[in-house]
Amino acid sequence: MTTPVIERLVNSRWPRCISILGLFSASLFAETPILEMDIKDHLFYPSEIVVPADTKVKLLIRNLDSTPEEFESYELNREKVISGNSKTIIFIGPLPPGEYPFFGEFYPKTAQGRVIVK
Amino acid sequence: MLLSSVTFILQETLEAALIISLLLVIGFSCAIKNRWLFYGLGLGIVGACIYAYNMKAISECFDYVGQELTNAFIQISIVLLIGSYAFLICAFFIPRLHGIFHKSVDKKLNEKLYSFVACNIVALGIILEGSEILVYLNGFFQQNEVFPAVILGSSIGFGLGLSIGIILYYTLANLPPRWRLTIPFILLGIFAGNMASQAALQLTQADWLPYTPVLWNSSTIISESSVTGRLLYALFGYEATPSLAQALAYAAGVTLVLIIIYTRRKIFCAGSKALDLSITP
Repeated sequence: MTTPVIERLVNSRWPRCISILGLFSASLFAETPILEMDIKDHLFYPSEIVVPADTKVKLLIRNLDSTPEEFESYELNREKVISGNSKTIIFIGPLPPGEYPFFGEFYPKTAQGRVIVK
Repeated sequence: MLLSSVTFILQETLEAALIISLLLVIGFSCAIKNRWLFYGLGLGIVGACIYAYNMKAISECFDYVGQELTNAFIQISIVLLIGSYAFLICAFFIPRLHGIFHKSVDKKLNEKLYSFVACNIVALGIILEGSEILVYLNGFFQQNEVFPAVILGSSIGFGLGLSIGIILYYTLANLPPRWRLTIPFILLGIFAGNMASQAALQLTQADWLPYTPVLWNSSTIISESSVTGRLLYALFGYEATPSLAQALAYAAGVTLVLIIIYTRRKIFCAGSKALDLSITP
C-alpha cells in the first residue's frame, strides 16, 4: 500500500523547512514598533517614552498645534520640522540603554522630553 | 524667546554665510566676476519660499519621510556641485591666473559654467536653511504677543551670521597670497564633508540607510547644545556622537575636494605662486 500524498508531506521535513523559512522572513520583514507622541500647546505628550534596547522604533509624532515645531535631539542625532496640524514619522534606534533628551527647537523652553531606552 | 530666536537664526544663517564667503574669496583670488551671486540669492530665496510653503505636503511624501529625502537630495547635490566647482577652478581659472590658456576651451563657456555651478551651490544652500527660517517665522507670525521679540531676536541672529560671514571673507581675502587659495579650498572640502555627513544622517533618519554604530561620544568635552558646539556644527559639521555612516560620508566629501586639488597640485601650486607674484612687483 502506498502512503497517501498528504500524510507523506506532513511526515517529510518540508513543513519544518517552511516554518523555519517563515520565521526567518517574519523577523526580516517584521513591522518596526510604532510609538506615538503628540505636540499640544508646545508640549510633548507623553514627554517620556520608553523604548526597548537595541530595537529600531518608528516615532509617530502628531503636531496638534497650528504652529510648526522642530523635533531636535543631539543625543539621538535627529532633527525634523513638523508643520502645524500634521503628523510625521522619525525612525530612532537601535540604541543602547540610557536616556536621550529631545526638545522642540522652536519652543525650547516648554517643549522638552526624553526617550528612555531600557 | 529672544535668545532662542538669536541662536536658531544664527545657526541657520552661518552655513549659508560660510559657503557664500568661501565662493566669493575663491572667485576674488581667481579674478572672476561675482555677478552669479545675485542670481544665486534670488533663486535661493524663491526656492526657500516654495519649499517652506509646501513643507507639509513634501513631508508627507514617501511614507512621511519626504522632508529627509528632499534635504538629503539637496545636500548631495551641493557636494557634487562643490566637486564640479573645485574642478572648474583647478582646470581653467587657476591656469588663467598664470597665463595658461587652453586654446580648445571656450572661455565664455567656462565662465557660464562657473556661474551656473556657483549660483546653484548658493541657491541650494539658501533653500536648505532659508526654508527652515521661513517656517519658523511664519509660525510666530500669528502670535502677536511674542512676534516682536522673535523678529528682534531673528534680526540679531541674522546680523551676527552675516557679520561672521563678512569677517571670514575679509580674513581669507587678506591671507598671504600663497595661502589665499589653499585655505578656502580646505574649508570648501570641510563644507562638502559636512553636507555629505548631514545627508547620511537624513537618510538614516528616513530609514533609507541602515543603522550604523556611534563612533565616539565627545559630548562631555564639547556639548552640541553649547554655543561652541553649535558654532562648530555650523562651521565644520561637528557632531558629539557621529555614526559610522556620517563619518564615512564626511570623509568622502572632504576626499572629493582633496583629490581634485591633489590631481592638479602642480597647477594649484603655480596658481598660488602667481598670486604671490602679482602682489610683489
